[in-house]
Amino acid sequence: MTPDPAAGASHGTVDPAFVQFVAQLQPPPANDTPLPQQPLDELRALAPDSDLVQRFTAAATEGGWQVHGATATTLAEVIAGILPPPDAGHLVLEPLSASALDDERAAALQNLLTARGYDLRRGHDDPTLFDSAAAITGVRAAIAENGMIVVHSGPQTARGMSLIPPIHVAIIATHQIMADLFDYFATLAPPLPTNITFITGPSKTADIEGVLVTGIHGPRTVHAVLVT
Amino acid sequence: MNVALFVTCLTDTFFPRAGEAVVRVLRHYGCQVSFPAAQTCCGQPAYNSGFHNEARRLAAHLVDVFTAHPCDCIVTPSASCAAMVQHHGPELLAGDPHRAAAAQAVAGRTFEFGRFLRERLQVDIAAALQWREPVTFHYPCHARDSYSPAELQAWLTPPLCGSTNSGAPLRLPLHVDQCCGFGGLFSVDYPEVSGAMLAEKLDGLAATGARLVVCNEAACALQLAGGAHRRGLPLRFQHLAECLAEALGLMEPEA
Amino acid sequence: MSGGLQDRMAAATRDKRVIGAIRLATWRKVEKRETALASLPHADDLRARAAQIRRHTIEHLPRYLGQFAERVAAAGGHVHFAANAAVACQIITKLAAARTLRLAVKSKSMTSEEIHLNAALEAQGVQVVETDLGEFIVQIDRDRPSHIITPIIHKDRKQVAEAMVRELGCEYSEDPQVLSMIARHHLRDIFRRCDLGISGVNFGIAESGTLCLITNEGNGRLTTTRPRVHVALMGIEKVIPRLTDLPVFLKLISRASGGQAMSVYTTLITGPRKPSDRDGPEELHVVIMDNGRSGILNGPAAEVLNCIRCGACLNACPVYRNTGGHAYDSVYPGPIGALITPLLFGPAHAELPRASSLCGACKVACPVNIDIPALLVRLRHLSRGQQPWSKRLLMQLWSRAMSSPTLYRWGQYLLRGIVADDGTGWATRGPGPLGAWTTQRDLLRPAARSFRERWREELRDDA
Repeated sequence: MTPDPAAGASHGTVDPAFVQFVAQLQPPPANDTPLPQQPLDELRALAPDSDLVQRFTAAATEGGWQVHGATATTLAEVIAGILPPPDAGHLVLEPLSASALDDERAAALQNLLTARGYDLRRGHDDPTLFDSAAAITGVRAAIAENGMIVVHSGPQTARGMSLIPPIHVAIIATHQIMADLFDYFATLAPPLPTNITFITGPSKTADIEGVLVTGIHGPRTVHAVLVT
Repeated sequence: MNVALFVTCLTDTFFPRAGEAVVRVLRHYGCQVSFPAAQTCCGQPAYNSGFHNEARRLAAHLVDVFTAHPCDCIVTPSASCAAMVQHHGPELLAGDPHRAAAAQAVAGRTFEFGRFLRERLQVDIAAALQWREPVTFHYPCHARDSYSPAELQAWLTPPLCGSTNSGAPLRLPLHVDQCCGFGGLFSVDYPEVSGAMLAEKLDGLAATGARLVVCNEAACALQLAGGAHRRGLPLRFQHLAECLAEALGLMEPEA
Repeated sequence: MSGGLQDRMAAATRDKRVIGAIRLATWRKVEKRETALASLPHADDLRARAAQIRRHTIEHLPRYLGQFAERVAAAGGHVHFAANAAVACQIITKLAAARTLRLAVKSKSMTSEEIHLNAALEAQGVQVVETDLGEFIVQIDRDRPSHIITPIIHKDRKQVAEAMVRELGCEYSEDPQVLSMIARHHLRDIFRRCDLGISGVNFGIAESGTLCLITNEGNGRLTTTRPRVHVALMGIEKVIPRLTDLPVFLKLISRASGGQAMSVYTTLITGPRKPSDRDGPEELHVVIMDNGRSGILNGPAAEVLNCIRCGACLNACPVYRNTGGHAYDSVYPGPIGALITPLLFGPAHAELPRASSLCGACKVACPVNIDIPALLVRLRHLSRGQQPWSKRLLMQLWSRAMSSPTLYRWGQYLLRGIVADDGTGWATRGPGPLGAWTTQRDLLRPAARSFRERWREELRDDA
């Protein structure tokens, strides 16, 4: 039986055959294995007091990020320096105030880019994303351990922003860097956003003879701008 | 210490010199060595092929032989036969009311030769060894319970400075724990696959440039030496006990 | 049947071009795995933790499956149950038909390979496009994947170039960068037009009904972002209890696969697009498939269900390395495939666990500590009745003879007698069953005096 999605507006369905199937599975053995206790502090890769900016920069660089340092005042210039020239195409820009920037800084960035001749768009659909030259987004968190960023989907942020344009510029406030993957998961609580994505670098493949190729489906170039 | 030797069928039949070296080295370090003549095979070929009833028959025979033979420890030149006696013997005989406890006792007294020297006799193997020529080694896969690749490497690395024992270097094969492709009946059930694995392994050993290969496992030695002979590779295979017996002056170097 | 596997594997070892490519690729992955795990603090503790979580989950599968389904539905997803491959295909083709979906994009999923989903959809007029580069090349070349993570490990760039020129009409190039960009361009157009996205699931998190998908290319993200319907196909064993269990696996799985700290994209999907979301599929369907797994659950090899499909055991396995994946004749090759193939697809594959030297490299590589060699022996034991009668008889006779010291000694003499000595101490043609031995290597002649003779004559204290 195929459940009808129109039946429940926001709640989904479970096939009764599945409930039946689960019910007839064998119960756990008497001498069962316990679920390990948490937290997992003794398994951390990094001590919480490590130099997170330094570690993030090293790990992210290894993963293929181009890491740039900036302050709130130099940010707009740093980003303008990274971007391809305005005639390469329009930019998609996420409202950044939620994460790394306050409203004022976000406005300053936008003003500078407009003054330089960039066409800034907020769209999230084809062709806005598919035909763009670059995307600029904030992040939810960054993980120093393995040099990666975390992005959430939401009212301001399309999943496609960090995925479809050929260049992704991620703005990270240094206070957003966490030491360990465990630290990030400790912050997760329901309700979860529809989509959480961890990104460790440019889109990669090594399917042909093990030769590393970047930009196979997602961005070929990824910039992490660390704002202190 | 009273030691009973479990020589294993392959060492008995194909590599008696290795068995002899084990006896001489153990005696050198003060052990009384005995050899229960009724011993045969540990049953590993049957066990690994899934013929557990047949393996059980041999495990039972081995337990009977060594239970009837008073000794402190049972020492064997083969780590894979040691693992068979230590783990699968008790597992096969767990349901045998007459032998379950005896199988556990025999398992507890059984040691692979190198492990025994290190653990029970506190012998510094590296210090006792002396190389007259470059040497490399084969790590037998089934030795994992007895010694790690790193341990074997340490055993075979004589101290370089401040010792008369420094000599030609140990040359590491590229992949230290690569299988030789023997695998018991696998070697005749899948001869081409086993042969391809053997070729890959021999290439790695030959690439070290050493001609002497320490190989503590008769089954691997049968496979590797057979492959080397077929290809005309100038490799010689010796058990650690033979290397030690020669270094300690207990045996003449092999012709 | 056993002859089939033996013949396939023997033939595979002779394809020097393929084996050369696979040896190179697998050794490289082994080295990268070893380096990555050596630099990960507490790697062994993490593996033990991962193994414990998997064991616990499989023991309590009904509880976690039930919870998972409930939470998927609570997040707005629809949970379907497929008892077998046919039902799974039927569910998905019906979904496509009811919504008149015409163009499906797929992110790499071994489970979908297992049920031959592409053929089922195409029979219903749905065009299916594989979007993982390797799987895309497999599809256009009408080939089969030979590795669960690296589908075209058996192909070289020439073969890729030839297939792309033939099927896409592009210019010939052997540059992987150029070839990849041609594929990107082609697939981008598909991603703009697709209406159905089909993915597998790396982990299903019971407490939140979240699907975790891991990819390097980003095709998994596009597949689960662009179409209006997302169908995720997962085996019943893929659940883990809690969100906080996930990082234990994330720290291990990509390192084990090929030495990356983490894959480029790890995506957690909870439910379909919400009204406030800017993009993403309007419908999320999770098809949970049994297809033989529940039969393994209470059997002697239930531990195989702990597998997280990282592919590390394939890369580490010398049999895989010297035969390639196709010889296994299963979507799941390598050591883990030699276990799950006969367990899932029946006694026709019972010979597979015997194609192993039991070297244990797979056990060393496994990030969730599955004792693969022990399970191979267990399956060999269970299928011993299918072995040729001659072998069974020989085993019987051999074990009886070997448990008698006298017959053992006679056996030694006999062997010494029949292995002909040409004066070199080596036989180049073994007699009887030893003939298979000497196809590959020479046979050392038994020593002129066995150890026990030496012992009796000179070594014993009183000799």
